[in-house]
Amino acid sequence: MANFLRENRLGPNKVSADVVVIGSGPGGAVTASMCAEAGKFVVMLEEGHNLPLESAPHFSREEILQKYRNAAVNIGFGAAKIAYVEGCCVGGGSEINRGLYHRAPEAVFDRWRRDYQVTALSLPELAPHFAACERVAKVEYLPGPAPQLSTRLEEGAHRLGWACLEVPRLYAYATDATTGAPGRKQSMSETFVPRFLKAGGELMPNTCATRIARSAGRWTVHARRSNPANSQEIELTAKTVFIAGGAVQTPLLLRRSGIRRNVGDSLRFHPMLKAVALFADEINTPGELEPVHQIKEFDPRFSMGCSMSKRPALALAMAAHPQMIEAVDGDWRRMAIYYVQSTGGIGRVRSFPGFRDPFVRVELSPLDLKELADGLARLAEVLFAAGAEAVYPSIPGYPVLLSPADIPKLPETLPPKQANVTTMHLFSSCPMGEDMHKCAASSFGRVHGADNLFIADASLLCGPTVVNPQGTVMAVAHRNVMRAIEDRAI
Amino acid sequence: MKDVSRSASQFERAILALGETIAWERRSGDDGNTALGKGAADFLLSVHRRMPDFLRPPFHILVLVFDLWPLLRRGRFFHQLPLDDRLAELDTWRRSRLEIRRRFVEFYVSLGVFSVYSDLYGRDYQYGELPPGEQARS
Repeated sequence: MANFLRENRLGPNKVSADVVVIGSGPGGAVTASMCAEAGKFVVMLEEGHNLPLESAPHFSREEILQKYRNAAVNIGFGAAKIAYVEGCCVGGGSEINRGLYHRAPEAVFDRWRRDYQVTALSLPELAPHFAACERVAKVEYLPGPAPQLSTRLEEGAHRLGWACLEVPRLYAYATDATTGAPGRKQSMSETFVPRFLKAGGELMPNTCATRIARSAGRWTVHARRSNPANSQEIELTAKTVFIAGGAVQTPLLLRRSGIRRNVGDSLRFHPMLKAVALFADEINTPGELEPVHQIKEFDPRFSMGCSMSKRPALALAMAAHPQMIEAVDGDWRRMAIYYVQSTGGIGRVRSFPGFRDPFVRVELSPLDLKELADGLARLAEVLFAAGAEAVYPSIPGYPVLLSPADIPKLPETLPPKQANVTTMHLFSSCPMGEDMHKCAASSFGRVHGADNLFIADASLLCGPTVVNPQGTVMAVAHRNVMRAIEDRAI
Repeated sequence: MKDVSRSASQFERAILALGETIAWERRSGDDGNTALGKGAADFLLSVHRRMPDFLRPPFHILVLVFDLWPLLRRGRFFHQLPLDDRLAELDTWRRSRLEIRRRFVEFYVSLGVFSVYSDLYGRDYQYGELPPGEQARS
């Protein structure tokens, strides 16, 4: 960093670069590494800390404080509130998600091409970009049997005749590991960020972009660098800027910079409900690998899967049933957390003058709420088919289900005020495409009406991916930066 | 529980009392395990410092209102109440007809319980099976 700053310093706290990438998550890290490998001077800003993969166990209290934005307390306001989480560290969301990997289905891209006039975006056209990313961030199936809390879901689905599959993860398994972690998670801090640094890129953690402005043919990024002692304002100038802060932070930065056309108006997400299942025998063992099965029978309406089910997570999931929480102490080995996630809902991202954080408003339609309620009933059905003795929906006021005969006791639709909806997947706040009434950016991510300003994250995706979006974010970022390089936009 | 720093603000005292009460409610058998309550309070304070800036002032006020509430009926702030009274107060809020009171307790209790269980069972996050009969603890 010292050499880089010496060579590129324009004055106190002023730096010049060819490319500035704002955000180091899956979109930003892929983009930055490609630009650096193309021989450009690239600075990648990251608001959060630069932390090793092992700095905290996955979904632990420590990880929430270290790597989650706002300690995971983010609320989308509306009749039905939604709690959402975002990563805030080098690697962004890839550090905190479970890395279940999918290429989004063809039907998703068909819809985006049709509804948003996105050009050259089909699964065959994206395949080389998926493959290029998969060569750097390895995608592997479990080398051995899946944990029982995962296979139980598969067994239940099999008994009901529902489609269920084992999903690969962004994970490099060490098949000869006898102790410790069974391999390395292929998050951005393990894959594309080291590749970016190796290519000569400069990473600036603890640096939050606050505004961008254009003058004399170059972009200026105003940012604030924080360290334990103080914070300082800095300015970076560059020919080209890629914004990759995620589906909430990217529209926030654009709107604060005066770029508002179709920005932050169409946030989408995968709303999720959880339930804890209690089985007759032990299925939850400390040190087990993460669950990998998902039920796809009802895609694209909703899908189901299994969550991390350590005791702290179980206690959190059982908070809706405070009178039953002691069961976690005694029966935790027989308990596991499962989820159903749908594709409904829409939101807006706005900023308040004087406040740093964005205001997110969400709306779940009556149909969305009904869909989630149906999904929860189906989840209970498959858990009983898998041998569950009881199902505890993680919704305050909901009944404990003791047999399939209790499923009709669940409300037919999700009461908005009671809904305990969460989401980890957010996208679509600045959709790409040539439909100027809907889209904030071109089919290749260039912000409409702005030279050399690109978006490179989940904001660009035109709607729900139905599956975990990280693979699609990476592939689309790879496709778009390749085009930008070909077009000499950087 | 009586070693609350004199320099602690009313807000911090209320959060510490809340953390201790949540820990006590969950682990009533662990007499004297005040570290769990302190850990929960530290976590609640850390979360408060990190939450979105537009949420921080209303949550600050809510915590102060929560602390003030028993003054009318019991003549003391929440953080000054004995544990049994604190538990009763928590239950009153849990069963309140006012949604905001129920939500307040849900929010802090779920975070506090997560912290307590993280202290008790942090060992769960390590790889490898526990030895037979071992009680997992961090």
